[in-house]
Formats: sequence, structure tokens, C-alpha cells
Amino acid sequence: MKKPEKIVIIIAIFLLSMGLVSGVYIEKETDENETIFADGYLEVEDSLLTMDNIFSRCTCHNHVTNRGNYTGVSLSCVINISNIQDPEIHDYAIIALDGYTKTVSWMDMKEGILTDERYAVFSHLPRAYWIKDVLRIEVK
Amino acid sequence: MKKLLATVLLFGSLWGLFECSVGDFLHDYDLSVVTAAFAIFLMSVTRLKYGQPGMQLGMALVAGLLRHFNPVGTCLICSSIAIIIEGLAFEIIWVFPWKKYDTLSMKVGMGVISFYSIYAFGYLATQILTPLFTATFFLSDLIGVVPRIFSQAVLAGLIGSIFLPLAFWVDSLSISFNDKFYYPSTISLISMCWIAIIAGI
Repeated sequence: MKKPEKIVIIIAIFLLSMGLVSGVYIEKETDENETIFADGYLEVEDSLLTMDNIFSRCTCHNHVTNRGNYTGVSLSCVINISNIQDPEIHDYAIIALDGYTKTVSWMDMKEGILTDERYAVFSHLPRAYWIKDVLRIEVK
Repeated sequence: MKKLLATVLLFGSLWGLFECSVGDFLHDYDLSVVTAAFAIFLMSVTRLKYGQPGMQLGMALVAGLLRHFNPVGTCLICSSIAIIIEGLAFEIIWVFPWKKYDTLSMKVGMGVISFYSIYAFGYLATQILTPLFTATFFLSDLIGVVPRIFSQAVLAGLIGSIFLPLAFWVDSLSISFNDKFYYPSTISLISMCWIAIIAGI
């Protein structure tokens, strides 16, 4: 095997290893948060809210998107019941169980909904902003 | 030149049709890597067959534009960005003179490297450019998604280890079309793809 071939094989193995290590890291992160998630809690900044609590205190809305209809509570309501001071001046990082994060503005929170399956849907934003398995909302 | 342009339009349209028809469906199951692998395979086969640098970026531009104007889907801009960046990343990787080493280990190794990095660059680019075009970019969001990108790119790399050697095998087959049939069939296929995409397949 010539030197360039060896270099290519080494780089290929390095990339695959990096991907596998990342996969293990994601699994570890997911496992650590699994308990809170499985117990039906949603972390909003420092408070823990149950999904039942959220759905009993916020009104459900129907959201029509070109990928179907979704029913859920307004994300701004979730923030309001968490007693965040001056919610309109903050941005909000929505974090999924596997660590996938997207930060949105208060205006986006008013447009977006959280379904009972913990799916954050923003019909006015690209799909990259729709987050499955929402675990936590951090105030920025 | 005319034939090359027709070929760019043809393969770009086929790629666009594939993205528009099954792209969202696969994305729902976290299998966007399959659409990327199809695209990289298509680019590899056409690059080997026609040997024309820049052709694959042209195909990506055609596919990206078609994806953008497809009326169905929820992230047309992210898909379009990913497609065009994949084409650009492909061109960069194929500039390197690795093809002169005609061995299976080189093809397998480059299959892993090219499919892995093209998929990762496409994914990464959408995470940077989509917020810039549509909302606000936050570095913390990007950092959070990097492990996910690397992890999902492993599947792309493994697919590449099989599909790049396969692209070389496809190239070794002597497939040729008579010009008499080439243009009418190419125009028919392009028209079919565009009609299907505009109709919202």
C-alpha cells in the first residue's frame, strides 16, 4: 500500500471514530436526561413543570402547516406560567433530549406551539427549528 | 458544450425530483443521509463518466433551485442550502489527485471521506446559513448540533465505502447513447421532473 493510500485510510478511520465517539456522547447525554423526560417533566429555566400541568393551564391551539395539523399549547404560555420576568426581552433556547438546540425570539415563541408529544412546531420558521422531544427551555 | 449543459440539467433535475419526492419523508425518520448519499453517488458517477470539473456544482444548483421552488415541504431553504453546499464540497474533494491510485483501498477510503465530509458540510452549512437567512444565528445552537452531525455522518461514510467503488464499477460499463435519441429523451425526462416538482409531488 502506497503512502497516499495509507493517509486516506487513516483519515477515513479518524472520521468514522469521531462520528462513533459523538454517537456515544449523544447517547450519554440522552441517558442522563431520560429520567426527567420519562417522568413527564419539562425544564423551563430553573423550574420543573409537568406536561399535565402545562396542558391544564394553557389553552390548546390548532396549528395548520403544510406538513399537517398540530395541536398544542402556545410556547409563550409555557414561559408565562414559569414566571419568567419580562419575557418579551429574552431569547429562548429550546433544547431536545439529544442536545439539539435552537434559539428563538419571544415573537417566535408567541407563534410556536408545544404538542403533547413534546414537539415544538413553528409554522413560520424553517423545519430546522421544529424540535422533537423538547426537554428544556433556557432563557437567554 | 450543448450536451454537457443538457446532462447537467438532466441529472440536476433527477436529483431535485428525488429530494422533493422523498426528502421530507426521509427527514421525518432522521434519514436525510439517504438523500445525501443518493446525491453524492449521482455526482460521483457523472464526474467519472464525463470528467468535467464544475459539472456537479451545476447539477447541485439545478437541484437546489428546484427544491426551493417545490411547493411542498417545510424547510425549502435548508434543503436548498444543503444541496448546493454538497455540490461545492464535492468539487473541492474531487480536486485532489486521489483518482490516479486505482486500488480498492483508495476507493473505499475516499468513499468514506467524501460521503462523510460532504454530508457533514451540507448539514453544518444549513445550521449556519438557515438562521442567517430566516432568523438569528447563535453559536451555542451550532455547538449543540455538531455531535449529531458527526454521528449521523458515520452512516454516510459507511454507505460511501460501498457506493464510491460502485460508482467506479458503473463507470467501467460501456453505456452510450446515440445523439439522435439522447436529446429527445433528455428533454422528456427534464420536463417530466420539472412538471412533477412544480405540481408538488
